[in-house]
Formats: sequence, structure tokens, C-alpha cells
Amino acid sequence: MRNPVAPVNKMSTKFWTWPIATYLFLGGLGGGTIFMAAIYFFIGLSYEAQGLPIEYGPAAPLGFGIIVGVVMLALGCLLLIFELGQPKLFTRAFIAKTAIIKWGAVLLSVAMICAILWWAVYYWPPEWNLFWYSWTGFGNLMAVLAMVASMGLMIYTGILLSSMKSRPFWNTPAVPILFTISAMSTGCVLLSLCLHGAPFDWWMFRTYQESPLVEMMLGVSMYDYVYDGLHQLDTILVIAEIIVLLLLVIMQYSSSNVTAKSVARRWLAGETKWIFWIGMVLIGLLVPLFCYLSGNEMLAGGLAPVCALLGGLLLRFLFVYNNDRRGIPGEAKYYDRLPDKDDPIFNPYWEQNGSIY
Amino acid sequence: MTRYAMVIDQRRCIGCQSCTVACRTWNELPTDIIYNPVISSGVVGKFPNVHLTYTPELCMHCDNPPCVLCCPAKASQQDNDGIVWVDPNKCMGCKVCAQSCPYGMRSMEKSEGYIRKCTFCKDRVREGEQPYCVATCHQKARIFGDLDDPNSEVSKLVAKLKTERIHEELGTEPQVYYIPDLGGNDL
Repeated sequence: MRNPVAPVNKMSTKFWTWPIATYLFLGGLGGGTIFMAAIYFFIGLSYEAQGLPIEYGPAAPLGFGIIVGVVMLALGCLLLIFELGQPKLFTRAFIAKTAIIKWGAVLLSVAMICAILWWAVYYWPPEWNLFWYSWTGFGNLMAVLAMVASMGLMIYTGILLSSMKSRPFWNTPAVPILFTISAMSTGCVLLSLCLHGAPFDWWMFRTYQESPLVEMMLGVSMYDYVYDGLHQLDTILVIAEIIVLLLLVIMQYSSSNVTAKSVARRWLAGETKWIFWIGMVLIGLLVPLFCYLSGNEMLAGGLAPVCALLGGLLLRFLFVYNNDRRGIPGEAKYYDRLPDKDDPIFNPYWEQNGSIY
Repeated sequence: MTRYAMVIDQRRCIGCQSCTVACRTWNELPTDIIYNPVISSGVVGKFPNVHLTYTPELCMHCDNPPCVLCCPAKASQQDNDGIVWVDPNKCMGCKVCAQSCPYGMRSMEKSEGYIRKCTFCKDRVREGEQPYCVATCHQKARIFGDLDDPNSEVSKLVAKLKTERIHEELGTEPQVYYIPDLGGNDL
């Protein structure tokens, strides 16, 4: 039986390509990193309330991670603008309140601006001794706003896809859940990688100081406390992601919708089965899980983050490139018969005249 | 109030593709963009009782168009008479409307950078003429008019005959009605 869905190379069925897939990944990654940093920042504030100065608490080593999160969001923005047909009109992304993309653009802007201001108050180079160091209330407010916006961003990337009734494989509530878990997971690993930057605390770690007293109280340094916490959290997130991903694909495979079923079959046993099973499930999820559970520091700190980030990227690519539209009987046959745009025989004759008048 | 709609009589369509060619001519479409393909599932039945049905597609100018709601730039818009169109000066080319259209009736030429689609030939319609595909159809399989006018041909056909709409279950309220060809049997 013919696939009722129009083939991918005709009539520009593939509207979104790698820049959007990467943007969805970077949006989730940046959002996840800022969100996790905000969580540990507020844990740090609670420690401060109990009498532990902030430069010794869990908030201290987060500065580099916040900046890396903002850089990820900025790169995502650039890719989004690069993908536009008319990039000079990009400011129009903020106009219509009914559009999900508008809310994505707002969340992206708010998360970036608030995260930078939050970083400026708490993590600016100490030797500059700037006047806003005392604006802790403002810094806390910016941290709250950055946390809320980055949480919205993590959810938004999935909502953008799942809102499309035209694409049955995307149009399910499991997609935003999966994307949110994946964004939090990749955010955890990126933040933990950024903690490795702690030795470079010459300017981005204004408040970070090791304290033998704290280490004695906790049994570990504050750096290890945050680092281990992120790894424990990511272990749970990876397990949740495996469950939601498999549930989604199996649910779609048993769906009554022909299009959703054909995509699920493609993932499970079709042309993208290697990318799905080896790339996404094995390398992207099972290897990080094994690394965390092994307790080996080299595996958990080095291999697991790289694999988890690769898995997150593959997830977005798999979704964006499997955007099969609800079919209309006969479409595939029609578009199959059309010449390709760069057809060596048809196209020169067409282009020769420029217009058919 | 005016509400433009189209009725396509599949009993009359012979799949000659005149409407496709006429549309491409009138709108001077780039090579790989087609506003109204005429598709068919192929021959059904067993010789000698065989039958072929054609389905001319075009933008459905939905009453509840997902492409307009999702456009962040307000470039994709719907007029009071129901015609959905794209303002190329406002379209930034994010292609989210093309992704959200369940009928695949939006396309973009990379060199132009904005979305193109069928406009029911609004320039002709507002001068009292028929869309070019309707004017070209020698089988009179395409009927265009005001659905809110009870005396229009489209109103009478929709009221009188059993019509179908594509992907009606999605709630987009498409305004292209098909009079199905029931295997060669008249309704």
C-alpha cells in the first residue's frame, strides 16, 4: 500500500530543516540550564537565610553556567533568524498574541535579559566593585523572572510542535512532556559541565569560595554538592525520558491515524530505526544512565554529558524531520509524478522562458 | 455579509488539469509551487466496472484557519468575506503557517522569502469576476459564490446536495465543499 503522505522532496513538504531542529534543541538546552541554575541559586539563598554566607553556598559556582545558558539561547535566536525567509523582518515575531511563536520569542528575550541582569548582580567580576553589587533584591527578582521564562521556554518548544493538528505524530500531549524532560535533562548536564569550569573562577565566580568548614559540615565541597545533585537529578530525568519516549512511540504505533502510525513504524523499524535505537535510545539515554549508575567519575562526568547532549539534539532532529502531514488520498501519487525542482531535463526548459506568457 | 466559498462537483471533474495550468498562468507561479493540484486515488473497481474520481485541491479558506492563528507577524490574515491571504510585506518567512496547514496548501519560494498561497483570485473576485480556475473549468465542476446569499448557486448546492469537506474533523471549517462522485452513480 502506498504511503498517503506526500513525499518529502516535492512541494517543499520539509519546511523546517536543521536550523529549526537546532534552535529547538538550543532553546530547551539554554532554558534548562538557566532553570537548573535558578533552582540551585534559590537553594543557596535558603542556606544563606540559615546563616551560611552566599559565597560558600550552592549558589556560588553557578555563574559560568548562567552565561553559557544565555549563549545557547542567543545562538538559538541567531539560527531562528537565519532560517527566516526575510530575516530583516524578524521583529514582527512579537506582533500577534495568538501565535505560539510570539510567546516563544517573548520567553526567549525575557530569559536572556533577566539571566544577564541576575548574573550581573551576583557574579560580575569582583575587582570592578560596581555599584549594583548591593542590589540583591533586584538580582533575586531577575532570577525569579529568568526561572519562570526558562521554564516556559522548555515547555514552549514542545507546545510549538504539538499544537499542529496537521501533523498527527506531533499533535499529542506527550510531545511537550518529552521535550520538557529532555530540556531539563540537557540543562542538568550542561550546568554540570560548566561546573568543571570552576577552576577558571578568575572572573565569573565572584562569590565562589571553598570553605573547609562547609566541607566539614557537608562531607563534600559545595562544588561537589551541586555537581552530585545535578547528576542524581539527571538520572531520574533520563529514566523518565526513556519511559515517555517509548510510551509516545508505542502509543503512536498503535494509533488509528495512518500518518502517525507510519512515522512510528519508521522510527521503530523503518528507515530511521538506527538513528532512533542506536543514536537516540542507546547513546542518548541508556549510555548516560549506565554512566550515572556505574558511579565512575570519569564516565558520569565526561561521557554521560556528551551522550545526553547528543541524544537531545537527535530527538529534535528526529521530530523536525518526521513532520508528515495528514494525508489526502492520491496526493503521494500526484507529487511523485512531478519533476524535481532541479530536474536536469525539465527545469532548463522552464527557466529558459522565465515565464510561461 | 459576504462569505465566499467554492463547491467542487466531483461528478463533473475529468482531471484535465486546466484549472492547475490556469492558476499557474494567472498567478505566475514559480516552478515548484502549485496552488490547486488535481489528485486522484487511481482506478477503483474491476473491469469492466471501473471508475476514476478526481479531487481538485486548493486552499480551503477555512472559517477557523490554523494558519492565521499561528502567524506571529499578522501577515497571514483573513478578510471579512472569508478570503485568507498573506501580505508579503509583513511575512518574515518563518513557515509556521505552512507547517500548521492540514491541507498542505502553502508554499515558499526560497528566493522570494515569503509564503504564497491561493487567494481565491481576490483581485478578480472584487471586480465581480470569478476566480481564474473557476472561469477556466469547461466542465463547470467548480462553482464559486457567496455562501451567505441564499440565492447564490453555491448556497443552493450546499443546501440541496450532500457535500463533503476535507479533514472536517479537525474543526477548521473548510469552505470548499465537494459533491462526491459516488462511483459513477448520480446523487
